[in-house]
Amino acid sequence: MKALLAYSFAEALGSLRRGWRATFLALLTTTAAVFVAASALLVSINLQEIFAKLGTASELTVYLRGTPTEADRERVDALLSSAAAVQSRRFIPPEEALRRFASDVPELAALSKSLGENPFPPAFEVRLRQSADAEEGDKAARALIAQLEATGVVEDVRYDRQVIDRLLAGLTTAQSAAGTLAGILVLAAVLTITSVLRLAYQTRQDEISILYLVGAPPRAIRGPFVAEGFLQALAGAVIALIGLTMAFSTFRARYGQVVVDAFGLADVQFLPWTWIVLVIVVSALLGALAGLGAAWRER
Amino acid sequence: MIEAHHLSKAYRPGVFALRDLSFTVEKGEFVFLTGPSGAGKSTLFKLLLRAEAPTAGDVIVNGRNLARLTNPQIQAYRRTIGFVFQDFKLIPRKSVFDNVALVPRLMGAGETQLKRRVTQALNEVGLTDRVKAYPLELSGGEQQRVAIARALVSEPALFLADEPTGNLDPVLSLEVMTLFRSINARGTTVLIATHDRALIRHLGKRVISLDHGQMVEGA
Repeated sequence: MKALLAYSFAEALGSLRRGWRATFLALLTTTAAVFVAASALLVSINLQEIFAKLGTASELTVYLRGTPTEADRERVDALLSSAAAVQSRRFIPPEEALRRFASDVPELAALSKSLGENPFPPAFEVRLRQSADAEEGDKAARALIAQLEATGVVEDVRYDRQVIDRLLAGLTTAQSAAGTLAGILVLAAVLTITSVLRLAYQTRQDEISILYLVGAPPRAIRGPFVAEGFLQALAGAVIALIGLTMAFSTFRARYGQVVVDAFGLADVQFLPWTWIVLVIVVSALLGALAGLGAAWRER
Repeated sequence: MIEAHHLSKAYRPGVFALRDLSFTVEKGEFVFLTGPSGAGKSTLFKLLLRAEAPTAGDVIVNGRNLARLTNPQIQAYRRTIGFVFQDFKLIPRKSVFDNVALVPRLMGAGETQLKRRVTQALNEVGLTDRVKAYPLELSGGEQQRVAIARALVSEPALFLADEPTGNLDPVLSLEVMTLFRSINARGTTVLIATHDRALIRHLGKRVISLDHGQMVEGA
């Protein structure tokens, strides 16, 4: 086995040197495929973190009816303070709501002033407690909404769960699309390696015939092609991961804080070591498989 | 060592390259297989190398019916025989040493053992000084001797050569035949296909003669 491995890798290295143009083409394709696949994995890992945050976080905005009395406001406040689902609450008087509107949408500030009276009702902004079980959290929020509406003081409750659900659905679709694209590119890389090695097999047909005639075992004939596919894919994976590390460092330096702030993450993270090793191993094994496919011929 | 029983080979229905051939070659014998072009010599060698399967009949080498061998068994069988081809079949990008060392290396022989065996085989054919040369740097006679060394390195019990002197001049042909005689002298069974009648007469060994796929002499 040791002798076969030594022979296979020595032959493979020789072949890679001799057919460097085809090797370069296969290497380029493999690098691109692994880069995209590893990027998709990287995005996916960070999205998992975002999903976990969004899956448990949600807010309510409770709009009060007309001009509520102090007692009405205190009733709603008491209900919110006693609810287990509520993490924090804040009363927003109409003046503050108007001020926020003018600041957030300055182009419409003049319009709100021209109305003569403040169109914004008094409201409570409620931050719900994060729940490990998103479904349980959602149930508790809906029960609270029902209680609030039953007071007769509440005009409307805006629950942002649906917005988050839509966002999550969008992210999931993007994640699936990236995964599919990565899969297609990996398949293309495997086919490219297979084609390049098949070509090498064809050009070495005379030599292979000699090997068969002198009694070389089939594993010794396929071995160099398996080793060649293995080495090509291994090199492609390593180059791709080095490229991805550099691209990630640049991205984190420029946009890392923006992403962290937007999604409340601790940090944007790179692929863990286990995943890096897995990407390299899977790539090399796929390359070896492509080599085996190229040299597979029953005699 | 070799038994052929009613051996036939047809590449197309009704067109026989070999027809109902029966003969025996005993262990340690030196036999010439001769006949004009198209007589079936190369076909018989293909059957003996198990590059082809017979259409009918059996060919038994060293007790093994070649028609019943599986692919891995065929490769293992080929490693037990020494075969020399008319066109040498050396790998041009490998040195003389690597060509001769090919099979033992694939079978896991250690470097020390490999060096000893290859040197011994090259010594037998008188090419120890060309160990680092490449086939294209060698003359036809030298290439043929490298091919013989490759066949000898596994110390086969059966040595087959298909027109081994076909590309050589008379002097080199005689040298190669002398080499085969010395291989036979140490107990190896030798079967050589040739249409060189002068050489056959010179060595004076048993002859199996074929014509149109049938035996005409030597059963």
